[in-house]
Amino acid sequence: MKRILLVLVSLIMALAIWGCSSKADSAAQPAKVSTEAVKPNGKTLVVYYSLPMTYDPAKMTEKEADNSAVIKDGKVYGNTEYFANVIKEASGADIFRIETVKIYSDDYQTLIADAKEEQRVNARPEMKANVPDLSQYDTIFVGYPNWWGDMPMVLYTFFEANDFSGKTIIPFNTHGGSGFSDTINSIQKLEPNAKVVKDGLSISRNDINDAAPQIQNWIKSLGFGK
Amino acid sequence: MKRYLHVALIVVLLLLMANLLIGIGVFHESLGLIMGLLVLVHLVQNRTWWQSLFKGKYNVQRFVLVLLNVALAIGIVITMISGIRMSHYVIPNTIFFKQMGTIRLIHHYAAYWVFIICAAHVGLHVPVITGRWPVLKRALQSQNIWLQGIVALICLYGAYAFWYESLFMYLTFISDFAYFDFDQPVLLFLFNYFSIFILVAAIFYRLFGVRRNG
Repeated sequence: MKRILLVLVSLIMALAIWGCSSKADSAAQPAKVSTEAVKPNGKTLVVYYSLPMTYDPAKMTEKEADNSAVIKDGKVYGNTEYFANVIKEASGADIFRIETVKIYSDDYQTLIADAKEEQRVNARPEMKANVPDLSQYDTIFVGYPNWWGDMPMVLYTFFEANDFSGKTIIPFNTHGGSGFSDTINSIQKLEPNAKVVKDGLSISRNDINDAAPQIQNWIKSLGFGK
Repeated sequence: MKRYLHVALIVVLLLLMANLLIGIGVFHESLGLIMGLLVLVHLVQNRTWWQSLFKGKYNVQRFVLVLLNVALAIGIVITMISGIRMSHYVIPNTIFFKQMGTIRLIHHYAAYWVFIICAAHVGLHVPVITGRWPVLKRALQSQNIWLQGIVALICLYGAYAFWYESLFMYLTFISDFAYFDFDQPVLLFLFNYFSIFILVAAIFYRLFGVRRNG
């Protein structure tokens, strides 16, 4: 019995070590950045990508409203858009919205299938515009929804189009259960010379509606409170 | 040789549950194909069982066994087909398929149930396993208190791991997306799932296992 357990556990350990070593291939994971190291010493920017199913409350199904949008005072925000705006209000940072040239379907199933297809072909959707003059910012919050366990492909376009060397990136994201997935490591790989903060904030679409206090506390704890 | 196939099945299953934790998508998809092959061999090796399905008497134990085996087979087929449809490393999918979101959901739901039913399946086949691993048979017969203690501890931890890994949410379709903690060591994830597997197997062994001392 012990031998069998030993064999099984050894097998699993060996395979896990193999699995872990393929993760070590990715850019050496930086030590978790302490919140002290994040104190702002220059200008801060909030960049985000958000795609609620529709901005028209009349066209919104209840499920879409629940899952992809936040409605405050009759105004519709995408989940990540709302998140980004709360950060902006709490920190006084500048804000920039990533938008694609491509217009995605407002049919949920089509959108998901499209996103999967973009992943399959490793697409780089074209951005309508890039951040005007990234050089003036030292800290950039970057937010995105979790799509198929990764960032939407336009975020890859974004990171490849900009050089964050010497800057601090603070990720935030919204999700349906998968949290950040491995996107923080992906960002570090794309920007090896940037300080990518590991304790980004990830908020479920179920919680985003009431998340303002949590977001504000997080901003304060990072030292960015106004 | 059959017994090594059994071990391989369990190991590959655990690695599959880890999904992207063990590496990029190509690993998960390749393991899925390997699992398919292993299951196929397993089914072929046990074809006489399938052939005897309509023969003989049924009691509660046999009914549960057949039910679970059939459910497992169906679950694996569903998981495989949905996985193949979503594949983008191993299978040359090129046609845009609008129902991708639904396919993903099916794969997500089926995968966790297959995992649990697999564990139940093993629990129901303890005599077959001990028949092929004499050391296990001796362990089971010896009723050694230390061994029983270790298994009990793993089962207890399995209950904790069941909660920790949110299995209830996945199995009851409350949660539509699997959460993976990429900061947690993969080994811990695998051990968590291994413990859950042992717990479920032990439960089914106790409840429905055929006690055979041969």
